[in-house]
Amino acid sequence: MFRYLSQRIVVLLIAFFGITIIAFSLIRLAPGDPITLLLGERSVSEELRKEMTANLGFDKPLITQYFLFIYQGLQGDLGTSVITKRPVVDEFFQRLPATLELGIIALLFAITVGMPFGICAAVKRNSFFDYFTSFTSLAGYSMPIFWWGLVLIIIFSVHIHILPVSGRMNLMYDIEPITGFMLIDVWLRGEGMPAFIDVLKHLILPGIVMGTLPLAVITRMTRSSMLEILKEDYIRTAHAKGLTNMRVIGIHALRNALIPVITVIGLAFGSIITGAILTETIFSWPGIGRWLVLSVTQRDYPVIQGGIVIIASMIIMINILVDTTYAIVNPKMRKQT
Amino acid sequence: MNDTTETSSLKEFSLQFIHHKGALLGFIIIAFFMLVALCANLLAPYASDTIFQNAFRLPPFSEYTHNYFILGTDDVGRDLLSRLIYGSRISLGIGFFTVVLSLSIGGILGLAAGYFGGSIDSLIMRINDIIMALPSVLFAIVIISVLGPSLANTIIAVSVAELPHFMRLMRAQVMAEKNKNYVIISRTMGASHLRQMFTTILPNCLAPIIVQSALGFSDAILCAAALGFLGLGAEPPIPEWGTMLSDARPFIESSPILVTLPGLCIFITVLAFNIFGDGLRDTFDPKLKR
Repeated sequence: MFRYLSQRIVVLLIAFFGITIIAFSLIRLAPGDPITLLLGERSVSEELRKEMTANLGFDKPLITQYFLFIYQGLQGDLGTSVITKRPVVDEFFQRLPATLELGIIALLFAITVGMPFGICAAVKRNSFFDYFTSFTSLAGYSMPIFWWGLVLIIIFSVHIHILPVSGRMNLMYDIEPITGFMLIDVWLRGEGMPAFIDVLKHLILPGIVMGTLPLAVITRMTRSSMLEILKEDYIRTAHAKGLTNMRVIGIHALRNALIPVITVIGLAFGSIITGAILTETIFSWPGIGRWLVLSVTQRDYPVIQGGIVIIASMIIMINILVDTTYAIVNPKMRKQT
Repeated sequence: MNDTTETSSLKEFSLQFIHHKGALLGFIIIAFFMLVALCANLLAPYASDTIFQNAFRLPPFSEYTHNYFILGTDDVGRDLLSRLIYGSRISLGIGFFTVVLSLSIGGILGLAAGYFGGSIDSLIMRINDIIMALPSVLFAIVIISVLGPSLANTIIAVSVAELPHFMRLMRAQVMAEKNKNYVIISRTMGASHLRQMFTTILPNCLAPIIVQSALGFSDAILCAAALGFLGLGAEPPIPEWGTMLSDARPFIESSPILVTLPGLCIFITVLAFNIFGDGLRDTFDPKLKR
């Protein structure tokens, strides 16, 4: 197990190293001179330009620049945003809770809807329900979520006015963030139930939109993994022992069928990021997805550079976590030392 | 003799394929969109960038100065139907070029990785890991941030982001095939590496690659439309569905049709390719058949 894990970790660290090289090259590959990109399009005196070049180390050899980038990055300094003049790391972690809150809601939605549907579809194989579930999950898989979000807005916000169009909460509640998770902050600030419901209402549409792709994946995965397990001999034995259907499916089959599903859920972080980029743009959600898209349109290279380094390191850490859990949970892996 | 077995297996394949209702449905929809894309200049009532003065956001079935607009016009007075029809060219074109690019580059890299193994394999797989460390839409955005938004750059960015699918699949296939007897025999008979890779092994790896190409089409169209929606894809006035959708967002309340139809086109095309790909996989792989 340790050998397998250490190999995985080395491979993932190499990938992370690659991402830092890509991030480092971005500003140097982009058309135009890096100093102009960093200072914005304003005209600057030749002296200031030279001073900036020296300060930021652009006059040093590339390899020195790269190690400087890594050295500063490890100390939590990933540069300063051109637009807001604030450190990229601060900006990132200020926006992360909004994305995480939305991501957690989206995953909860995907799991609570996807797993029961997947299980029922597998149990009632080849029934109308099974075909319906398979088709719906394929449709969810093919859904352009930016369109899906707008369609939901047209239906629920424009036509029947029951859900808000965008934002995290009604403007009448002016809540200073403490944790950044609004569902918690409303209580900490003592705003009470009406504010909580308002925040929850703002989460419903983006949550559904962001959860659509994970929902489709989880449903498909649960169904196929359940189908595999239901064919096993021990399930037949359990039936033969006279156990109730509920018990056989709910306890004997489900436990084993869940192993691959848990992996998929763990790896859903990547699709949460993709979802965040599109969903936050539709719903004007102040998270990291919209921040990244804006930074690309505004050519704010330090933000793009820092943003992808942090996101890649998070994805890689989650991958390591999933691999470790998988190695611990799965007895077959535990034996191989 | 060889010919007859080949035709009969082809015949069997087509029969199975036709019996697979989903695959057939997907194929029909794809064929329809392809036909529309090929005959766009015959089908479209107007050119995609003809602007009709003062004919802004007309509702469907409206007439204006002797011009008839079946689906109405967009916010600058262009015929929506014509733009949707020409848009099929753009989206299918993006899908086609992306699949060709990532299939050929990813396929060759995967083939080399699987065939040679060792350090070549490690090197290629590490490239693969780097691309996979970021979600594909984000990776494509990163590439666009360097190259700048345009139709050609969309194709490049999406192709790179889609590379891992083909690389990994091809590598796995080649590794499964390369120690089989027929490969060992061709090696003992003195076949060169290139001959072994492309003539001996490659044809036996194609079935899953064809399936992946169909699925790659859908991924590419979806990813490119997402870039267009974010304003990082095709530049106006190119009638790309994702860009059209994003341009129409301010008018979501007054003219929802401008938002709904381009998105519906993306959805149906992507769904058709996914159904088609799934169906192909079922027909190619008898083990998975019900």
